[in-house]
Amino acid sequence: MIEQVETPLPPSSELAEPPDGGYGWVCVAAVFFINGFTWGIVAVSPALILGYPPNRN
Amino acid sequence: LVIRPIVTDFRLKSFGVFLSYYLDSNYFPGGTSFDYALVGGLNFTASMLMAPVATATVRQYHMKYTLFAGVLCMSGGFITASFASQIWQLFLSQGVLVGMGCGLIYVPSLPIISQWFGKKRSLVNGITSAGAGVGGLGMSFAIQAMISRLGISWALRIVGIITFAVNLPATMALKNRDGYIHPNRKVFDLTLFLRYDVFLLLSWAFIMMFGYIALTYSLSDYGRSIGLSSARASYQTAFMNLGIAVGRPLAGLLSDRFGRIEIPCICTFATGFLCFALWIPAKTFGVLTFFSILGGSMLGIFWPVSICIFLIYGLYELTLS
Repeated sequence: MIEQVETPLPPSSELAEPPDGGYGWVCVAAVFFINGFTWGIVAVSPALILGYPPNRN
Repeated sequence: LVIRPIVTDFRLKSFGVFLSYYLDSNYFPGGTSFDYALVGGLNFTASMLMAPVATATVRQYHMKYTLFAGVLCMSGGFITASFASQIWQLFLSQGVLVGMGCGLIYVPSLPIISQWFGKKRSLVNGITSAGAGVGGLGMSFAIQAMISRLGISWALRIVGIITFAVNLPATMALKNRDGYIHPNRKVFDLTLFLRYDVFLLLSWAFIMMFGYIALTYSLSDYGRSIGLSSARASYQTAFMNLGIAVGRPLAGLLSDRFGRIEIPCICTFATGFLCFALWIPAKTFGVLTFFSILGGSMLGIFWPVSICIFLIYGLYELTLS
């Protein structure tokens, strides 16, 4: 039989503390790009709308 | 009596330029300048209306599904817009669908940074929010080049493909820390609306929104109306994004230090003041560029999605983050 080893979990308050780094930096890079390619594009989309008239035909 | 003729004269003059410009071209039959502006307004409205939907689906299923749906909506919106031939089709595609996508992507990714960073939160939020300015700056030049070389349809398709290629890996890389912390996700906390301070905050955001949209959507139009070439006029949007890229992180840091009500107050007033002091007298490329950069950096304090934050996370969470 496999003996079940119970590893004691650190107190929840310790885990809830933000690590201030680690994989968080990957998330920072991800959100940077998300902001750039959602709101960044929406902010300049007037250019896309203004593009209509001169390029007709 | 004295002011009224001047105001109406100014408005009619500038409005006439836009209107004749759009109507002459007549790309979309019956499309007016108001219709074109409405497409931009729909982006913001649809994204805000998606906030409760995004919060509910994240809680019910997994964050990844909501994000993926958002990526599909946004890219799909641009690609379907390239096939639009009627103005209402443009409303639904480039207006509603793109806006929905934006909301579905942005809202779930919003609280993640605060889960990972505590002490460095202001700095990190500044870095991520500068992304919008940097992205806008780069894309406004890219979009101009695409439109002039490939035409509007292919520019829209390429933008759709680019947003998919960037947003898909970026959203899939996100990890929340829900296993460790148990955030209290309320779809809509209606009791919050009854609070006087929340009501005031929302009113500020809502009213400020008019100014924000008016500024972002008419800056390049205005450039054209004072006789700038269309390339130079469209650079104004790029310059404004440059201002946002610098001003937004700065505004965050200043707000942390000097107060989250005081700094937005000053910036709001300064933006309004600049419109009268610089924008109205601006008749040359140089002055208008100066206004765009300065106005953009002041405008950084107001982020359209801050309304989403108020709605979803409430005032308490807002003071924390």
